[in-house]
Amino acid sequence: MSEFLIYGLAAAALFAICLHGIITRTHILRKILALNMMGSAVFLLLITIAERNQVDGVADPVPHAMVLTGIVVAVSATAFALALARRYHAQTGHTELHDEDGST
Amino acid sequence: MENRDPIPDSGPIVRVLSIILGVALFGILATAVLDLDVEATGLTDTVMERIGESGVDHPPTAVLLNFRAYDTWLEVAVLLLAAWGALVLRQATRLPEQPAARSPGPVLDWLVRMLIPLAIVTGVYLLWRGTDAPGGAFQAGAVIGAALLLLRLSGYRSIGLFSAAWLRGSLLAGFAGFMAIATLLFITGWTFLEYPPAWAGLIIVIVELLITWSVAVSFVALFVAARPDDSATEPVGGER
Repeated sequence: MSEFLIYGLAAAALFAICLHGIITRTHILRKILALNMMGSAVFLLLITIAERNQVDGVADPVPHAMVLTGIVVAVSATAFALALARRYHAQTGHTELHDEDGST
Repeated sequence: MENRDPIPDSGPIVRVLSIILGVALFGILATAVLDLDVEATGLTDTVMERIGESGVDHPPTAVLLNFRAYDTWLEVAVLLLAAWGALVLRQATRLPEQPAARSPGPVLDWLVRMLIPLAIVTGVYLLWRGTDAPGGAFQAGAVIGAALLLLRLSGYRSIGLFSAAWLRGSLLAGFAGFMAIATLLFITGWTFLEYPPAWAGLIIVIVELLITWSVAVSFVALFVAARPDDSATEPVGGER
């Protein structure tokens, strides 16, 4: 099994585990973390592809740049999600999402 | 805040369904990964062939700020929206310092005095280094943002000094500057976000400078605005 496949399959597994986390965890912070980790799984795959595509020691700069872009987008989205979560907590006192009728 | 029981996670049925879904998703993704070629060169050669026209020597910087400048421009837009959104949530146009937050001892005082100039020099160095080595606007922005944050957390005035217009202008600088340069070149006959090779190096440095400042202020704004303002946001109907 090549290095590429090990990292690639690890990325696929991480992505699936994070989906499970988003569905089953009710705490908003955990959902946000799972979503953030999901992004990291994609970055892992992209870095693996950049590494695979290297020529004379230069890794493929296109997926490399995509990861750099993605990290900033992920940080921004996570920070905004956290701001929303804290606002939600300040307004309602809850740390998990509720339906209109109050059930979890 | 009182101690509460840990929040219960989803019930067993949802769990089992979620596991089945996860395994199925892994199967699909694994098939896709296994379908990829184990050996390939991707776009490495294409980029290396044209890197002379990009105005920089570091391949990822060339891709980020020239070949795929669109991505970076819209990335700055995402950062701007997130920072703006956090300010809107707080219903704030400025980020004034919390009163009486300050209690720096002599050690903290000394450390801040040492670290702030170091952070600024490191930030500028990272920005400059980005043309031929890892580094660039976002790394530099993160370091300078950390410096602003350190000042604020240790009781000095930093982002709180910004007027509403300054704060807004700083958040906008990267996005607007990027767009202004692209539009200017577009009017003079180049494709949108295409740089003339002779000017590319200078344009990239200008754009990176503006992005650095925007990134620094955006990170601080996100950090500060995400903290609930104790005086302004009273919990409505919830227990504390």
